[in-house]
Amino acid sequence: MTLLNLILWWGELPLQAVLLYVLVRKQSFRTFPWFFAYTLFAVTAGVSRFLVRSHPSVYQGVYWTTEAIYPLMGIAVMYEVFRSVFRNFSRLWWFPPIFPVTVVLCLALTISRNHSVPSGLEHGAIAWIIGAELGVRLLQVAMFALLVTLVLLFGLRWRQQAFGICAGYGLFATVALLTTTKFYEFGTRFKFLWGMVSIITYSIAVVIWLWYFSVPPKAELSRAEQPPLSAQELGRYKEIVRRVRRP
Amino acid sequence: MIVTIVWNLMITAGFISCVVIAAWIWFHFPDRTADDVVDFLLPVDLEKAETLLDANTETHLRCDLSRRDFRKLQRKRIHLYVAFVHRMAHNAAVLIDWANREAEGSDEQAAMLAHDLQQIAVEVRLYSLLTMIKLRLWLLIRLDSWQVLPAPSLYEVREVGGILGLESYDRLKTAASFLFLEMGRRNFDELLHNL
Repeated sequence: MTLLNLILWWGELPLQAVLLYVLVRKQSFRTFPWFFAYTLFAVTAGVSRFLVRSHPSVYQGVYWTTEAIYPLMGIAVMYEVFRSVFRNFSRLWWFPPIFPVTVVLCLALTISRNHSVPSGLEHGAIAWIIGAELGVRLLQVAMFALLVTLVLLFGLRWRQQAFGICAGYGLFATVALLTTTKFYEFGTRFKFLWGMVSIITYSIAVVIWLWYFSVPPKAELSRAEQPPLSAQELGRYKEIVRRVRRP
Repeated sequence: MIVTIVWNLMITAGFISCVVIAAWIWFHFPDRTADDVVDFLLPVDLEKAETLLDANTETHLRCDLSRRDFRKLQRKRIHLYVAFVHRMAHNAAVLIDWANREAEGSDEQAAMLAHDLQQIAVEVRLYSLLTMIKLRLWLLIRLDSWQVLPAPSLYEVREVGGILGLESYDRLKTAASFLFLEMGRRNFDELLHNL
């Protein structure tokens, strides 16, 4: 493996390790425990793969075992994002079922596609792992598209970390779905290219997460230059506000 | 065939989302402060809106006017309410933008009020968008002109998606006023006038 290849294939690992460090430092495991678990797992899996890269049979075992866990963690992280973003909507009866229904729809779509476009891996655990990964990618794209719609329609804060998590996954999942689809169409001819594109996109996703989790909260708000209202003035205004209210 | 179309649509949606969000971040109004609120609001006459949604007023009109005249008037009333709802949606968007900024601040009291404002403004925005879809659909299929069906009643859009529109908007005004006061702004009357 040349140095360039080494950097391209394993370059994301240090980035992911930096992200883990930032998450620990900012104590983000309190707010996004599943995303923290995902990052910790990604670093552990990456290091394990790197250590056994010279032993093909061991590498294959480690690779597919870790790959099998990724979709489960992906769903958990998406649910965490969903709960974080939509906690204000929990009162509305039609909102909570949206996530499980979307998961089921994405998995159903993936299964249907696997039947209509055979991958050559119809049987065995590997086919299931790849199917589950594609299902989660679909879910991530759907969630990203939904959040972008919410930013446009409802002014959802794009600077919040939940959106950042989703944006990173959304970008990577979109490219991963495209490369997988093209892989089915063109076969192994562009295997290296698709692999590189996926790795570079994932690195960009990690950079997005790094930005969202390392940018400090906004500084002190700019207040009016005039002095604050006196207690009397405040009382008078609050009385006006009360009168504005409808009976 | 359908599966492939949906699959490709999902990938397209992903790419469009990436482009749209990048464009939105680039062109979006930067850091809306309390100074950037009042001048951007569009006044909504809540009393007039209340009259439009009043069941009694509508019943009187239905009885007093000929069927043809009532349908014609009802179409105008729907247009007027669409205009009001459009302003409500715009104002809610401005207030969400402002509340988003204040909610990120270190002032706990202001952040709490901003959070309340966000919540109510999102509710108003949801109501406005759902109502606009419903009313524009009525206008599109000219539901008011169908002689076999009764003319649509504006009273039906008083509550949409489990949200009472005017009541929510009223709460929005109160929440915005409280945050405005908390930020030490004195042109409070202007805010109420423009909301």
